[in-house]
Amino acid sequence: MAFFDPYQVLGVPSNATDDEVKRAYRNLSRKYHPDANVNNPNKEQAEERFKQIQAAYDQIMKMRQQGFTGQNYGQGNGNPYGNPYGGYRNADGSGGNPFGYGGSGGYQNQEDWYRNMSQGYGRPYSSTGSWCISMLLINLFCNCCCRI
Amino acid sequence: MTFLIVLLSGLYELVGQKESFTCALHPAKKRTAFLNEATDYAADMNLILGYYHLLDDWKDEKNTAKKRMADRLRPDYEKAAARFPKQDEAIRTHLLELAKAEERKETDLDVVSGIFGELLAEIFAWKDDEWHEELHCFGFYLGKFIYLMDAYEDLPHDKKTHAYNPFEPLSRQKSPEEYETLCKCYMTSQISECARSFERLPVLQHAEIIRNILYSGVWSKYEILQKKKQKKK
Repeated sequence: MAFFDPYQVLGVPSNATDDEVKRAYRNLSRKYHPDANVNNPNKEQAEERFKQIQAAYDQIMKMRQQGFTGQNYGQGNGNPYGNPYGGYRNADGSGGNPFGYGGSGGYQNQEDWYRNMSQGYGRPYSSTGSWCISMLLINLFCNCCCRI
Repeated sequence: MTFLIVLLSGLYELVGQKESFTCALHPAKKRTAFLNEATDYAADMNLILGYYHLLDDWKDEKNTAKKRMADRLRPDYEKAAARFPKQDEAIRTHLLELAKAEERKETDLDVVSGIFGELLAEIFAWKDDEWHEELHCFGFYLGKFIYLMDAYEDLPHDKKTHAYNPFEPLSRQKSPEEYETLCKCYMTSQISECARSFERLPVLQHAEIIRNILYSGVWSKYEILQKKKQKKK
């Protein structure tokens, strides 16, 4: 799969704020949106570009919400997605994630990463019970850290 | 619906116009209305919801005044339904599903609030475009939150009148402190998913007002209820 740098598509650095990403998206979508190119002889190219812009925006916002800041995006460590739980520390001080998901490495492509990370919406009756259990686990781990 | 107008106006950066009008309920002074595509859409949704609400009241309470109002509203309802048939169908079917869930005294909070969530999701997903899915997600979790908050507020009254309330089994099975903690947890989980969905939308215009509502304003009713409970103690 071809490497896709969403930040490059939107023309923003990887440390851009959310508002800067949104502003870049808005400016580009105004230019390339199909509705703005109805009479453009190159409207197919504009539509294709718009799809790339939309995909780039979606990817950045979803990655950021999963805790991936994109600071190491594109760096050659074999896994461009880093640790989605970046910053989370287990009780022994090692990095990782409390929920048994993939963590760093092991994802062949971004579809695999999304498939593993995807939770919540998409299942209309997603369980609030499991959310509550997750919050209780996080609090438990935080209390363990404080006691060390 | 005002919130829907603000959200859609911010997302689509709609250009509107200002108009002066005389409110039928407040005729002394002319008012200013800000109109755009989103206000027209929200007005149609209000009409459709209002029409079905009147029909429900006629069906449940045999309230003839409500039946007469529904009949008067019918021509406008039909025009709105013709403009937005998908939303009309979704509202009708989900209200029916909700009535069935309440009739069988559904105990699963996710199921019963999810039905209302799906109803609001269809209203929020205005157009079939690149933002359809995200607006659907936003509306879904907001709908669940609204349903649960209303149920939480209505529980004391519903207990007295033996009316259906999805929180009733929980309030019986748990201690008051556990009940309050779990209710807060359930509602927080819904509104936090709603807020996450909002943060994925490229809304810059009106973003701060919307954040104020999502992170603080939605809890106003809850805080008033907590203060009343504290006073009673």
